[in-house]
Amino acid sequence: MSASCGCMKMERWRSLFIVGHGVFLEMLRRKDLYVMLILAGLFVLGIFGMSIVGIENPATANLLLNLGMSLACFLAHILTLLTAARQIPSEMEARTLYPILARPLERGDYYLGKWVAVTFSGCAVLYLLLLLGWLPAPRLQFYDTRLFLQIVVLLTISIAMLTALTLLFSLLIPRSVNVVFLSLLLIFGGGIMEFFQSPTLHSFGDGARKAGRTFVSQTLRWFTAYIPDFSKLNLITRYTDGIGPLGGMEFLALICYGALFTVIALLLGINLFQRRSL
Amino acid sequence: MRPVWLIARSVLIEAVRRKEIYVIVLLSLMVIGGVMSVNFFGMEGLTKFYREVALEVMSIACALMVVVLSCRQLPREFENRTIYPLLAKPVGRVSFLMGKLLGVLFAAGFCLSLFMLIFLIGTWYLGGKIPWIHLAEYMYLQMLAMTIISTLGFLFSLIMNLDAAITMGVLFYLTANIFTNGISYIYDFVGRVGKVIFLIVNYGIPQLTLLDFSEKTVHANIWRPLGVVTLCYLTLYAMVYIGVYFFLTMLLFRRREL
Amino acid sequence: MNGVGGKWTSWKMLKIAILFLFLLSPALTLRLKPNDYTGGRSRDEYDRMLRNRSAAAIILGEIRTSMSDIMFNKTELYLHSGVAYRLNLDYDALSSKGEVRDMGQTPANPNAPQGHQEVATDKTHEHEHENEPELPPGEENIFHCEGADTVIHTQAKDFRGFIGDLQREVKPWLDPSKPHLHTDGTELLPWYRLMTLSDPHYIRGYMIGAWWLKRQRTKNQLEAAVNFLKEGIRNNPDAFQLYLMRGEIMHALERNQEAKRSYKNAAELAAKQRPAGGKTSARWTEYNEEDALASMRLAVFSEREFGSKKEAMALARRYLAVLEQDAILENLIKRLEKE
Repeated sequence: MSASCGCMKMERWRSLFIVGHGVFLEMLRRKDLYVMLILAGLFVLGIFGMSIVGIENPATANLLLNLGMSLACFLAHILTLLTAARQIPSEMEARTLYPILARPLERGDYYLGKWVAVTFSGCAVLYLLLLLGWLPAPRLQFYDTRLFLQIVVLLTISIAMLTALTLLFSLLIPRSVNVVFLSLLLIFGGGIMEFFQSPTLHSFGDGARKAGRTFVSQTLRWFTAYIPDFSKLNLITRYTDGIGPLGGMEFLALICYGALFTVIALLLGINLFQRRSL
Repeated sequence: MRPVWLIARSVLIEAVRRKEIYVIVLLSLMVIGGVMSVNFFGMEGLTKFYREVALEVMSIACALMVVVLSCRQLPREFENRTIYPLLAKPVGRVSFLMGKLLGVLFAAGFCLSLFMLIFLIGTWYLGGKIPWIHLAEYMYLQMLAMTIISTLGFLFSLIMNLDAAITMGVLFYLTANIFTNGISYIYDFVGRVGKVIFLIVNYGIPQLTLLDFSEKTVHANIWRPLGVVTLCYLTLYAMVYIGVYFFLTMLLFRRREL
Repeated sequence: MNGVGGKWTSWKMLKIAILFLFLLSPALTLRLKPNDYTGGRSRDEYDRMLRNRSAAAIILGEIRTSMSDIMFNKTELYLHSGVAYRLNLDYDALSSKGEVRDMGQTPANPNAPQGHQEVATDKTHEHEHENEPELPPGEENIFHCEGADTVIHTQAKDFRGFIGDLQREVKPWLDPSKPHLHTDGTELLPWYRLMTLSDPHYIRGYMIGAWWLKRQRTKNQLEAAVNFLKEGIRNNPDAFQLYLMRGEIMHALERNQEAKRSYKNAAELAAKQRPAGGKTSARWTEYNEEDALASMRLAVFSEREFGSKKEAMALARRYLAVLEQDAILENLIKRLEKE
């Protein structure tokens, strides 16, 4: 019994690997590598330009470091978004999904395999661009290495979360709407959450009106917390501001935050995909 | 001209039927509406902020739409194999390309007009003055910029794959200002060889910032509109690059095996 | 069979548990604010000035990663009607006194225009140029001659030929040898509002925004300034300048008791934060020192006018001990002793 369970697990992993491998081959065939090279080239051009004009003071070095890392983070997320958004819809359009699912491959495994592969490739792009954005900038002030490692971990989770959400939405809305919607959430989500959850919004009015408004605003605050906030997992400005690393509990809580959204999105996505008629 | 017009019409109809334009317009409307709805200390008539945000959002949204639309035209025709029946008819490759370009421009014009309407309604609602001449010049120069981006999109789509072409197009648009500032500033720091390279780059690559009249439009109460002579020079400047990129696209398209 | 059924039930249970956790998660996640901290290099005014003046910043144009840096650029542009100069505005002067002044400008003539109190049109600089801005009637404008460079080069320094000429036509540009044009900064208010929303710890944003609101001189805008500063103080309880500004606005609204309280809060905080001897540095500028002096003096004045003279005397003595030397407080103590 245990041997057959073991075999089933192996088969499962193998299925995931095969689906993931397929995703990588597709990316190679589409020459998605070119995009990564173009972006890396952009960074190199920037480094070259700055090396000519020089960096006058630590504040300028800080600006460039922040910009480089932020750009790396943003571009990696956008690439991941674009890759994830086309996975299932394009296979459905091209009808290549059916022969794959005709094999002894669970829909859930197929879905997970896609998630793993896109997350993996997104992380690869992230690490490469982060290195290009971080390494050349001179560190003329103190930057905490522990916080840098925390950033890498949290951004990895952010990529995983984004992939899961994109795959989920790709089953619900058209591709272009999916891309636009999640891009806006990525860019402006933090600001919008900050606005809805800020004390400013809840401090207007007086007396009973304020009490009424407070209940409404508290409810609003609660429900906006269900919208994933990618800015919580982005500590780049904290790093360049010279602030210390997060405490253990807070770091763990953020990992759980990202993991929870990822798991929920995956569960919902797998559920939807299993029920979907193809 | 009829085949050109027919192809252009089909591109426009397809662009209008697809949800993308409306999604982009709707989202831009939400951003602009959000900006308008924030109460800035109960003060009225603060139109510069609204103008700046609205024009920036419109410009970026339109440019992204044009990049994606133009980069997709040719690869999709090849992928779907719809190019063969099209070229089997008495439609030359040049007419085909002209039709595609015109169609993309019509779509850009449609998008920009929608945005302009939203912008005008917003300005009227806020009680601000509308700088008509500035806006007209802004739109005209934006269309010239969109034309350059479209031809560049066609060219990129024939040289590289779709995603790479879109990436290049978007980067080209978004880094236009950095590019102009950069070559202007860095020139003084480089040696003789560098200076020659910068000179070639300066004239070889179109600088979209020259076609961005938004800043003077924002501060329209201070700055006069552009003169006719300047507009003619800018049109000529844009036309040179449009001509070059279109010619290169045509060359590559002619050589491409069907 | 039971094993499979059991496995299915535990998987279902797990899913329910995860869903339950998710539904309750806001209780924790609303408290998670890893980017909510005070201080930091991005908020340091001196650092901001250094980085925004650098070659890298000029090349990047308006592209920045923080809203407050974008604001820094916007303030420059709006006050100069869109003309991009190599950054020069003295932000300490702007936030402390509302003076629109360029760094390094020392008016030799004490009657030289300052801030926006006077309309000044220097006739000697009038000339015709196609690209010259058109001043709307009645607008208060100031002309200065500082010779600060523009981001877009002059024709003489520009290697780009006609492309440079076109850029100078299309973009707001004035020859740097000609007088600067400082225009009204009221239109900046929405940017300051957005900025303080995105970065509630940007103290200067609150100060400058409140100053521009105060300048409107209408009751509504003064009330709006009070609310704005209230928000700023809630987010930055140690910022004495905000209490000082609040006191000034309360005084303008003739709410003197509240003004008195604000001045006192400002004075107490300033006394705690002031370095020994009021030594100026990159972090405690002469404007901080001026604001601290103003807070203490105004606290004493307002206590004397609207409170008790005994308390005013006590405050004056205490603040004089902190300052070690201040002619105004010394005179006030003598007067209070006579009274």
